[in-house]
Amino acid sequence: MLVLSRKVGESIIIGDSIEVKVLKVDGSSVKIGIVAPSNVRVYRQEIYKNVAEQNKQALTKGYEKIKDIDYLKEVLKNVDKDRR
Amino acid sequence: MYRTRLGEFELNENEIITFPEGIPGFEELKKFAVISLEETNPICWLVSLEDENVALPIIDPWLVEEDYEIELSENELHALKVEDPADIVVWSVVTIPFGKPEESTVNLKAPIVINLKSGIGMQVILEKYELKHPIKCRK
Repeated sequence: MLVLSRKVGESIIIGDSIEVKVLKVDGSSVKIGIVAPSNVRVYRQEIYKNVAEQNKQALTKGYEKIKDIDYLKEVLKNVDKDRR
Repeated sequence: MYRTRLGEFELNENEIITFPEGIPGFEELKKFAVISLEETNPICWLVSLEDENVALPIIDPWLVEEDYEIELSENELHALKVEDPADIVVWSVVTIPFGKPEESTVNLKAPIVINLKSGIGMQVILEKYELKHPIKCRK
């Protein structure tokens, strides 16, 4: 890991197109501004990790859960009905 | 002919969706298709065309959240190559705990957004909504 010090208002450049700027420091909290090209997606690390975890949990073995699917189909049908 | 978790499918070129960044947890997988099966309707499937073990159940989020709304950033619109919002379809991944379908949840926080015209998809992460939105049963 590269460690470097920055003051408020200073930034770092990653590659030639990503800029990370320290905007504000308040106790243990840091506000950061990021300028990056549109194909670079920026997320809070823990949120990205949670989504990845949820995707893995959602992985199914397909038809082995056919009973569960049948149950869910019924529930969704009823949700739909309730709305009308 | 593509071998997937749900069997073999013949797909047209325009049914293949490219996820340039993969999806979180499966970053290395770029090619997917949405398979809709009569037997599981309204649950459809996001299947990987590169790893036959990967199939995610998906549903129309408006089925469980009538007022659901998503707002895409300029960057996301650009990455998806959106010209007409009507080309966009939105799916939510369903988690069905094995043997406990009553505990199923829908991921409204990170919808799968697909531009049917460009054939590009991505899983976007929204500020609001829950990762595990319960599917409420009618009492």
